[in-house]
Amino acid sequence: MAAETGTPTTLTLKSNDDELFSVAESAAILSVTIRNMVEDGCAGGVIPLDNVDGKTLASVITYMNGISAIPADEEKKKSYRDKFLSDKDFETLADMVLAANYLNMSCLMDAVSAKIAQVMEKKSVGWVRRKFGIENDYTPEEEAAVKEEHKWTFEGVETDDDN
Amino acid sequence: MKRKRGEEQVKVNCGVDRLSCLPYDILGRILSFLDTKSAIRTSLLSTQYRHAWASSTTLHFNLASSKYSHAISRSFETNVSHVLQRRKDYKNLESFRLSLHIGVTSIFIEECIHYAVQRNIHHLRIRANTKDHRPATLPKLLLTSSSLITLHLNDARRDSIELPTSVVLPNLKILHLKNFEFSAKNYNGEVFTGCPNLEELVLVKCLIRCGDELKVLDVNCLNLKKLEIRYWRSPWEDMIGVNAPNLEFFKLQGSITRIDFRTDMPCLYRACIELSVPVGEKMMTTSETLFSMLHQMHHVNVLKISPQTMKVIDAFPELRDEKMPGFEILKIVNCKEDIPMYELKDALAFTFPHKEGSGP
Repeated sequence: MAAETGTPTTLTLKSNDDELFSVAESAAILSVTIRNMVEDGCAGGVIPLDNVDGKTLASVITYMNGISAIPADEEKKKSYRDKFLSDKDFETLADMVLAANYLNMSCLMDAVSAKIAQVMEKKSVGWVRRKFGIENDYTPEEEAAVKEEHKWTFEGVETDDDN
Repeated sequence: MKRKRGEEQVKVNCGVDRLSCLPYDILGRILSFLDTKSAIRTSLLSTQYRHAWASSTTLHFNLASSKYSHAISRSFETNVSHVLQRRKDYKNLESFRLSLHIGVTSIFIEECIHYAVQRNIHHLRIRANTKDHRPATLPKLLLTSSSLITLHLNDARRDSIELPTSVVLPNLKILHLKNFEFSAKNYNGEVFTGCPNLEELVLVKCLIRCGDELKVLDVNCLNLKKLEIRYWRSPWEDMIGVNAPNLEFFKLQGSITRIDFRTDMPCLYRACIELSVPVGEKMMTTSETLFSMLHQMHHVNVLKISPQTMKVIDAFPELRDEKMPGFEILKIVNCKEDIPMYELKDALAFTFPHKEGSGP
């Protein structure tokens, strides 16, 4: 793709809050969504990404540039991903997972999902409901029944703390 | 986990709270990274999630150590069996992991593995720990599985899992064995030759049984790209014979191990020799073994060595200068004393200039 011509091609991406970003095509095509647009020839002007805000897109582009600079070395890529995600809070992770899903970036999606899972593992059901904005539509009786059904999974310590 | 559904989610209108619309599909993916106990807890989130855990293609059970081990291991077996029973109608399972830090019955381990293999498992990871002094036997269905891609077996007590003598795993790419004792009884090389597409082999804390007829562990893997030998426990007389012409990465960690590379390895790009055990009186033998191994790896582009390895190299300067002429200069050029690992680029191309075709 990008290798056809001698000079590296640059793409312009637009977030849903109208921020513009320049990114090397070779890095941007980590996103299958963007790669498809490039292959279909729709990448000539500005590529609008309607489901990603500027803050998240900036972060994703940092990731794209970082990971594509690493040669084929899975260990180094993994440690880059770990480091990249290490300082992100839960809200940012949730934005990232939505963006990765929309952009169809499987490796980022997996890394963020794993990180979210890691956070969730220690949290109570109430905490997860609040963070994901999930409405509890069980009746008290139903809820008690579900809890009884899987009693052993609720044994042990849970926290409601944010961190 | 193929997904082509991304397109639909694009249309979800996120409104004010961006978290409230985290699509169900994404939560399913997050679930697959949770251990099963935590995953089941999500059934309490809302009616929508009640059965979500059961459709997850990952099962991961962990039995941590505890002082009430007997009672706990019994209720653990009951709980796991209950969970497996509840999701028995889901025919696919990609990944199954059982991590036992307390002994359970061997029949329980066998049943778990059987359940997984019946569901076309891709990734199986077992840390086996039995309490009934009978090693768990791997079911035949597993040993001939065509779906299996990754297999991690850790024989935590050294008598908890029986190593099969032969396997037919046409699609196995990654094999990790930990705490296994090889002997003439359980090993004739077929465990590796039966995996023609094996790309990664990691042996951790393994050994050849002391005084056994078996003296050489043959690793014949024509497609092997990555080999790691960590904390090999065998005495000096034993050896690992490696026939892996396509090897790209090699790592040796722990104490020096006699490894004989039997073929040229033109693709070998990176190697890491991380000796960490003090050598003591065997310094001379250790140095000689190390030099002969480095000789066989002369194609390597990037070599990482630990300070302990450097000590072994420097222990006998005459031997070093004879075996690796030019190494001293290389060290000054490339190494810093304050970093834990020395990284030498084009190391052996420089130090073994007489070898042909080495270097980039």
